[in-house]
Amino acid sequence: MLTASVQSNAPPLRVANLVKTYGSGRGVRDVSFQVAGGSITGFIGANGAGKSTTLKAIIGLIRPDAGVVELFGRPNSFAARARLGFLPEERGLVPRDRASDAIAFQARLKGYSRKDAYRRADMLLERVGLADRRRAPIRELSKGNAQRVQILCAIAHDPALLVLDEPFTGLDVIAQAEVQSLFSEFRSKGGAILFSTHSMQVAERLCDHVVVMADGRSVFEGPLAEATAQAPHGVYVTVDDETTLMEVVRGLGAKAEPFAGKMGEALRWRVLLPSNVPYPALMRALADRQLAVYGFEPIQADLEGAFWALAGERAAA
Amino acid sequence: MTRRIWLIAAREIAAYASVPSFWIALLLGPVLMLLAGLVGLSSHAAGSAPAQTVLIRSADPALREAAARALAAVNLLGAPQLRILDAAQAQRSDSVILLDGDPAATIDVIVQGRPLPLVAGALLERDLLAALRARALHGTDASAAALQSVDAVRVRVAAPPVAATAPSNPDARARVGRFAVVMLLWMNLVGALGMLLQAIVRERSNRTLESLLAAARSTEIIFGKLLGVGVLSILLLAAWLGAGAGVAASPMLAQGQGLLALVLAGFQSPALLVQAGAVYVLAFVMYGAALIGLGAAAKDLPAAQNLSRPVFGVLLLVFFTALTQVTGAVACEPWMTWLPPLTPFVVLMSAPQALSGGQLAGAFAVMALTAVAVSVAASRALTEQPLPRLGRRRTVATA
Repeated sequence: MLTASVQSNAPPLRVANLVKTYGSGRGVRDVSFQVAGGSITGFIGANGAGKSTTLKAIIGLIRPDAGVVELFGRPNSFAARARLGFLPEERGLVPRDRASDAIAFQARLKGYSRKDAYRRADMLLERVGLADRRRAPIRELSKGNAQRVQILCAIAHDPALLVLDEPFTGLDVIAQAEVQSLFSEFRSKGGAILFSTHSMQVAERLCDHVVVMADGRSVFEGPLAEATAQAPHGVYVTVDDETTLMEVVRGLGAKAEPFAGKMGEALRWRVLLPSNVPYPALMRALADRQLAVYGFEPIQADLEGAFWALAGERAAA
Repeated sequence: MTRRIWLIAAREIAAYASVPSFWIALLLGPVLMLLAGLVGLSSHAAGSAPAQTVLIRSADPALREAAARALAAVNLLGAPQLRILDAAQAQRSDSVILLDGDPAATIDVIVQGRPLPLVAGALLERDLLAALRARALHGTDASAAALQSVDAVRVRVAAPPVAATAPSNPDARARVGRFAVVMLLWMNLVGALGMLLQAIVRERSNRTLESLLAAARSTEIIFGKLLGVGVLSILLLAAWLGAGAGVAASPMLAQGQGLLALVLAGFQSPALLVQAGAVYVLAFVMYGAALIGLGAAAKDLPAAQNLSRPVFGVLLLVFFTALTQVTGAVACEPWMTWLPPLTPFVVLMSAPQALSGGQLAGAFAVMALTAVAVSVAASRALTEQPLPRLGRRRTVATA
C-alpha cells in the first residue's frame, strides 16, 4: 500500500547550523538536526520558535542566510526534493477540484502518468476511508476530510521523506488516529517523517526522535526516551507569598523560579527538588508555614516536562 | 519541466472553463458583433442615416432619367442612400454627376464632390446604355445599323466612385490598419493580464501556493500560468475577431467592408504577421510575469489590484500613444523604442520600413531581456512572503 522509496544509506534529512533572519529580526539562528530513515521525528517548539521557518527552508520556499540542508546526502535542490512530500502550514485545496483530482495532480507533478496518478489517488482515498468521496468536490468535504485529502496530496507520489507542518491541527480524534496509523505504516516501510506539533501527547505517542526548538535554536535533538529523561524532578506551585516560598525552598535545598501562569495575585513557580526530596516533603513544609497554596502539580517525567526544562527560560518567557 | 508547465497550464484552463462567466465572455463577442450588424441593418432599413444628395446635370433628359434610375438601383443595394435633387436645389448637393459627350460615340460620367458608392459606376454604365438602346429601338429609324451604333457607344466614368468609408490617403489607411491591429492585441493583453492577476491571487486565497511551490519550480508555475491564460485569451481573441470578420463580410453590412479591409490590411503580409505574433508573445510574457509577481506579493485581491495599478497605467499610456500615432498628430520619438514597456507597441505601430533591421533586432533584444528579468523577479516574489497589511504584525514568516 504505502511504500517509501528509500535507496541510499545517507539520512533522508540533515540540517546544520541553519540561519535565516527576517526584517523583523526573528527567524532561526542556529538549527541543527537530522532525520533517519524509518523514523518519525517530532519538531517541537512554542509559537515563534522557528519551526515553520526551518520547514520552509527544507522545502526550498525560503533561502537560508547560512547553514546546510541536505536531502538524501545531496545538497538541497529541486531535484533532491523529488522524493520529499510536504504538508504546508497554510493548508488549502482548490474548492472545485474533486478529491481524486487534487491527489492525482500532485502525483502527476512529481512524474506519475495520468492513469497511475488516479490509481494511486484511489488507493490512498480507500486507505483513509474516503473511497466513496473520491468524486466529491473539495468544497463539499468536511474540514477534517479535506485535511485528510491534503495529507494524501503530500504522500501522493510515494515519497521517502515527509515534512509536515502541524499535520494534526483541525483533525478530530478519529481522523487523528487514522492519520497516525497512516504515518506508522509509512515508517514501517522505511519512510522518514518530520512533523511539527504543539501537542506533546501526539509527539510522545508517535515519535522515535524529537527536536526541541526554542527562540530560533534547536536546543535538543535525540531519541524520545532521552528527551523525556530531561524532565526535572520538581513541582509547579502557585502561591501568593514569594518570601515564605523562598524560605521553604532554601530549607529543602531546592531551587525555584517564576514560571508561565498566574492565578489572581498568586504566581506560578517551578520548584526543582533534589532527587532525595519527594513531593510530599515540599507539600508538608508549605503547610507547616501555613502558606496558601493555589496549585500543586508534580512535574511529569514526560515530554512536556522535558520540553519546559529544555526550552528553559526562553520558552517560559 | 515542460510536463509540469503543461499540467499547470491545463489546470488553469480547467479553472476558467469550469465557470460560466468564461463561456459568457466567449459568447459575448460574437453576440455583440451580431447585434451591431443587426443594428446597422435596421438603421439602414429605416433610412435613418442621412442621405447623400446628388445633382444630375445633362442636356439630354433621357440620359438624366437613366442616371436617376441607376442611382435608385444603388439605393436598393445598400447604404449610403442617395437622394436626387432638382436643379433648383443645386447648391445643397453633396455630389454632382455630369453627363457629357456625344451620345452617338462616348458618354463621359464625371462625379464631382463626395464620391459615390463603388457599385454606382457599373449601374450608371448599365442604365445609360439601356436608355440609348431603348431610344434607338423606339425611334422612327429603328434599324439594325442604329442598334449596332448603340453597341459602339462607350460610357466612361471619369472619377472613380469610391465609397467614402475610409481615408483616401494610403498612409493614413496604413496607420489606421496598424492601429487596429495594435488595439486588438492591446485589448487582448489587458484582458489576459487581469486573468493572470486573478490566477495567482486565487492560489494565495485558496492557500495552494505553498503546495504548488513544493512540487514545481517557481518558473514552471509562472510559465504554466502564462501558457494557460495565453491559450484562453487567444481563444477569446479568435472568437471576437472571427465573429467580427464574419459579420463585416456578410451581405448584411456592405458598408463594413471598408473597415474590415483596413483591419485585414494590418495582417496582409505574412512576415508582418509573424513579427506581430512574436512581439505579442514577448509583451505577454513581459507584462504577464510582472502581474504574476505583483499578484504573488499581494495578500489578497484588493492588495493585488492596488499593486498592479501602475502596470495598467502604463498600458493606458500606450493606448494614448497609439492614438496620437493614428491621428498623425505626433510622431513616435526614437527613444520610445528602447523603453521596455513601450517597445512592443512602438514596433507594432511603426510602418514596415520605419525601423531598420538593426533597430528591430535591438527592440526584440530589449523585449526578450526585459521578459527574462521580469520573470526572474516574479519567480523571487512567488517564494517570498506577501506584503503584510498595514497595522498588523507580520506573523507568518516567523512561525
